[in-house]
Amino acid sequence: MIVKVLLTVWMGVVIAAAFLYAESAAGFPGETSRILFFHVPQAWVATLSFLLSMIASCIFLARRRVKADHLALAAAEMGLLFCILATASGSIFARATWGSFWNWDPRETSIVILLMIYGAYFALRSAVPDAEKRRVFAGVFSILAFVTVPFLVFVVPRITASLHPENTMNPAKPGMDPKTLKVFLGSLIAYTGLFVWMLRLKIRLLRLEGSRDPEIVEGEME
Amino acid sequence: MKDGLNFVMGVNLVIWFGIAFYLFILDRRIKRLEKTSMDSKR
Repeated sequence: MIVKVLLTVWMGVVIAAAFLYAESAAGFPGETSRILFFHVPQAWVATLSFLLSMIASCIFLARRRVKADHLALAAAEMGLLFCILATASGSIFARATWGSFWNWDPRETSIVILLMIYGAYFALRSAVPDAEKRRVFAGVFSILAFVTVPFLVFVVPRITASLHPENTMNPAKPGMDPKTLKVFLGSLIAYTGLFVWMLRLKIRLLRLEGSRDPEIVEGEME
Repeated sequence: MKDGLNFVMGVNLVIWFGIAFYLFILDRRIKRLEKTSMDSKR
């Protein structure tokens, strides 16, 4: 309970600091660079979720534990949610800087492919009536889906010319303003905490549904 | 500090605290359901 209250306050502080404490980066129109504190952590959490879903799927396929399947499903759901949020926030940034919500930039195109792949994961889960088969198919699909993540998130946008401001705002590159870096790291922690909170809620919900009627609803997306 | 920025920050804070409030309620409801489920198993 205390951790959740702290997280709530922490995120509030991060939001206030993103607007009051951090300074906007040079080379971006107006205050658009502040999207960094929201968009990048959303993308980070999405990638983390997909990785977690893949690991949980491997565990499920190796040991056939329903708990692992619940974790894989919940993580994939969180991944899809945060991926949609990152796409939406990126699209707002694109409108302000490039003049259009959607430009079919390599980064935008690869994120659409990723959304479709994980959309198919849920389509697959809802298409198989048998619970055991559904878990196995979804586990295999989750592993195969994650194979594409490094290519779509890290490789493709970097080997092609892109409008995405990678070099300017990448925290790994030297030259990021210390105030910006502090708020950015604070935001990464806040979003990761939010992800853990939501993931745990979803897992508990899946467990409850499973205990109520294992054959019909266990492990299924609502 | 621009006026527009204050407004955006305010909207962000309202949305965030709304989400947090919803998650707290959801947490409590799930806890209650878990308790009921445990009791019925006994």
